[in-house]
Amino acid sequence: MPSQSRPRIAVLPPELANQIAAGEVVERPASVVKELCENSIDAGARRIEVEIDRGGLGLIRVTDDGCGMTEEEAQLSLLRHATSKLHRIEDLLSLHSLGFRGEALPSIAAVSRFRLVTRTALDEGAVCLEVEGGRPCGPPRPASAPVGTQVEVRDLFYNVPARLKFMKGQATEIAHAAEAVLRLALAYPEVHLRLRSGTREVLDLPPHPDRMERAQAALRTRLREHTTLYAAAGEQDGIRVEAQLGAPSEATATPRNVFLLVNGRFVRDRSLLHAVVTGYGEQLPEGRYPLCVLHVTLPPGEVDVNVHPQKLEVRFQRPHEVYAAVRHTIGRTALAAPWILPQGPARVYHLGAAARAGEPVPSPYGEPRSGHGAQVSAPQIHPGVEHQLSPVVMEPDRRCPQPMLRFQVLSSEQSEPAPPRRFFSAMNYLGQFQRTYLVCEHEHDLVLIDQHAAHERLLFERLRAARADGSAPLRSQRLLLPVQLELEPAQAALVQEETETLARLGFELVPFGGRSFVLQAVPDVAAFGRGARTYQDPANLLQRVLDELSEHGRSETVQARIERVLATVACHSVVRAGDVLDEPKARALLSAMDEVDFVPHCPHGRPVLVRLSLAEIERRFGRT
Amino acid sequence: MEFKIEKAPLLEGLYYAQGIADRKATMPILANVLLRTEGPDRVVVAATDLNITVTTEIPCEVISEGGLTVGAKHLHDIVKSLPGERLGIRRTENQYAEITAGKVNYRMVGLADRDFPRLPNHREVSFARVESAVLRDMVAKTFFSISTDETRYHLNGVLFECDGNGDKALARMVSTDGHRLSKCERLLPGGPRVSPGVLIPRKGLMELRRALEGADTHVEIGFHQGHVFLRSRGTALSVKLNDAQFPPYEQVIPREHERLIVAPRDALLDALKRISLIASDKTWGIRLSMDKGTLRIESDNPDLGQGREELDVSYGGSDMTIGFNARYLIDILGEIDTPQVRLELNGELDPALLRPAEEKPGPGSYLGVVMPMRL
Ligand SMILES: Nc1ncnc2c1ncn2[C@@H]1O[C@H](COP(=O)(O)OP(=O)(O)OP(=O)(O)O)[C@@H](O)[C@H]1O
Ligand SMILES: [Mg+2]
Repeated sequence: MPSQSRPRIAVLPPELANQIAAGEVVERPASVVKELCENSIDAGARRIEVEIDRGGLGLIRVTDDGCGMTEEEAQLSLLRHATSKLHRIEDLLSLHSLGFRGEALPSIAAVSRFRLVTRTALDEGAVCLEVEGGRPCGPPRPASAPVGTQVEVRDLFYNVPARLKFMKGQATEIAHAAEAVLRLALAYPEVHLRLRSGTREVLDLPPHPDRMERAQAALRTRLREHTTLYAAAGEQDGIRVEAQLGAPSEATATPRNVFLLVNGRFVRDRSLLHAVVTGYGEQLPEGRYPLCVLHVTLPPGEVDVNVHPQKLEVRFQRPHEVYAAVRHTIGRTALAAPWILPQGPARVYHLGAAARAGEPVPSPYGEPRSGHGAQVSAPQIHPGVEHQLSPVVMEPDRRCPQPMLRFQVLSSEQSEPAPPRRFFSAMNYLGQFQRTYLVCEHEHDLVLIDQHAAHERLLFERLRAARADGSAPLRSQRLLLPVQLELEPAQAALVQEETETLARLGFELVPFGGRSFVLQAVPDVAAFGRGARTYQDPANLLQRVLDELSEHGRSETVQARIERVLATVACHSVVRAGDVLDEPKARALLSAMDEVDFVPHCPHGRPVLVRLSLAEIERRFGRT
Repeated sequence: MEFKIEKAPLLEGLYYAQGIADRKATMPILANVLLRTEGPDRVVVAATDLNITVTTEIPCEVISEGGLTVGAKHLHDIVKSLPGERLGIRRTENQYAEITAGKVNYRMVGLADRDFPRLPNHREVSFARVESAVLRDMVAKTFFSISTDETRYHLNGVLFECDGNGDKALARMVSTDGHRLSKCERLLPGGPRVSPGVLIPRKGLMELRRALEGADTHVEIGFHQGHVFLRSRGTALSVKLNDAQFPPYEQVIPREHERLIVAPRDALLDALKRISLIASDKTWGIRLSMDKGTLRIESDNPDLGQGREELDVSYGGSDMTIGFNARYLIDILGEIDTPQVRLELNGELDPALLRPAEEKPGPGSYLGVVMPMRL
């Protein structure tokens, strides 16, 4: 090889090194917004103002009222690997700040025209530092500014044309920046955060007393139907989980509304995401993601935050425990399906002061019911006290504006797991609408019941009940004519792997050499009624179940798998929208619904019924 | 084409036709009834869904020859509503059919009769004259265990076999849905030779049953080119047979048994019906426990509760409990007409056999096989 073409090793000039490093940290304007806001939060700011222009490519200015820096600190802050937050590697184990690398400011300064103005509470005046493309524009000069820090980033990537080419339209960059602010806002409700783009105010979140209020305010525009989130909280194995959950009806096709926050840090994590989705269980439509803000808090030593250049990923020391804690906490709340409680102006139930444990609690079902754990009727417990049904105070929810004609989704409350026994059958059936909805009158309300969803739910509950505690195998019908099957290799493997699930579902498969099996018994699908026709063919039924298992199997427990299979089977054998139901059939469906522990959601998460109150109808007609 | 006809016989023919004309078919002409003159004094009324065809020959006064097709249901309803005893039907331009009775006049949109599917030709069929009651009984005793799954051709019909042995001809019908099986053998004097057997589809069998109900004491039955033909008076039904192999049913009928229960048929049937009231809606899961001299029938439904009934039976074997879909047992018992029945069992996972106690296996026997259920 000719010697002149041999590459030479050389140390990069610092600016170039910074530019290259910057590429990792600063991907787009939103990364700058994120890093600067994180610094402000680390500096104890209570108020952070973010201004951007031209999607952040023209200007990003972040102003905070945090602790500020002395002149010396300010100069240091622009040096690579200069940080006040970490001194020894062990400090990473007790890290309580968002920053720890000392890379953000120098990286940003390397790819922009950068200006830092900062002042501590002890200093008389502020100090101003300017850097262009990583090179200081001169010595620090005094300036006048309030206590805190302001960072101005102009012409981002002006010296990195390659990167500039990759920038999307302004609107996209603004949206990304807003997302960055939003993520921090969800984690730090006590901080006032504002984002302006040009003259437009994109976000303004004043301090909120807690995460719930913050989430409620920050995500208001993303909530479609219900203007409410539901709280879930729990602690398990030293892992604290708190979540603000949207109703399953808010589910989206992508996880864009799932915010996973670990120790105040927004992260992407498939396992956590999965835990959230599994927590919702079958209430969530398949393949959809809920709206959910998840806060996981655990000792800093148990999370490795130093695994991703933009700190978007973390590694848990005990991933299984974290998974379980999240899943259980969300699962508990989701199981009670709080979203089915009537919400909104006309239907927020506040118990009168007289309502105590043991006294009748007004029920959203309109009938008096026992309060928490009460077994005996109230008068016997508190003689002399007047035990009338305490009045339901219907107070408009101040948080949401006067609604349009809203159909309320109705259901039980956490402490009231099932509707009263004769709830559905007590309804006055009026007729069928669009061959899809049963129109009923209940008390003073108009109730619409989705016949398909109702039947689906009904079958699902029956199937569940049929298996008692969920551990008993399904009834299994032996075949007079066993079916010999030649399975695809993948399916044959699945059959071997899922022996237990299949057995508990009621399949009896005997290996017959190679990929051949003899199917000797199948779950008794007679219970599925009409639509069971699809599954009269045992091979068909097995096929369907195997498909289901291969799609969702591996990551779930046997129990979850069985439930999913049941839900699918139920879904394929029910009254469909478009089926004409004559009155006796409709009534039969209604009374059957009273027979099961009815959670008014179809197994795929759609509500079964909606309720329109007389008051709302009257308001529509201008009668009130 | 024009003819004058009595209203009553035409209406009868149209009644059969509109039951078969397929309004949901993708071929519009299948929703129509065909009217075609035959010689100087007959008209053929026909409808088909391609698998089942019904034709009725009705005397009439043919004025000019030819054919037409119009909507079967509508023509039936219109004829039914006409005043008087007689009416006239005439084809006019553009396939219109004109129906006249007294001062009533209809013009119905039609389709060309040459587009109507070709009718199976009865003339080449050799018919055998048999007692309709026997056929009716055999259909009833096997119909319920036909699979309703139309995609499973081999089970979606009844197997019909007959040895064609003159006055001693023995006919057999067998059906199974994969969970249970029923087999009925009857002497069918004069029955045709059908061996190997043929598979009559469930839907067609329903039409045959309907035709047999309205038939005289004897009907004519024949098999030709993959169809079964049934003729009674002027009406002929033809049903396309399922071209599939019925499973080797003899293999699944248990030949021996370890346990034998002889029970009164009515008491057993009533008990099963009673106890299954508490088995959840459609699952019908019940348990039979047998002990010396008693048969206990139980049902346990988490939603509703439990039920139990004990029957005195003749039983000398060892204790055993076995689960069944009560519906399956009830269906068979319902078709047994002897005072005592035999329930023959082996293990709790083996098929059970149910048959009349007084009958000897052989000519004229009936039996049902039911697979147990794991509860
Ligand atoms: N808004 C601010 N208010 C007060 N001090 C700040 C501010 N921004 C930065 N600093 C100081 O500058 C230092 C460097 O900031 P920089 O963001 O570069 O690194 P870091 O936050 O320590 O780590 P990381 O690279 O992980 O963000 C910080 O350690 C902090 O001491
Ligand atoms: Mg930082």
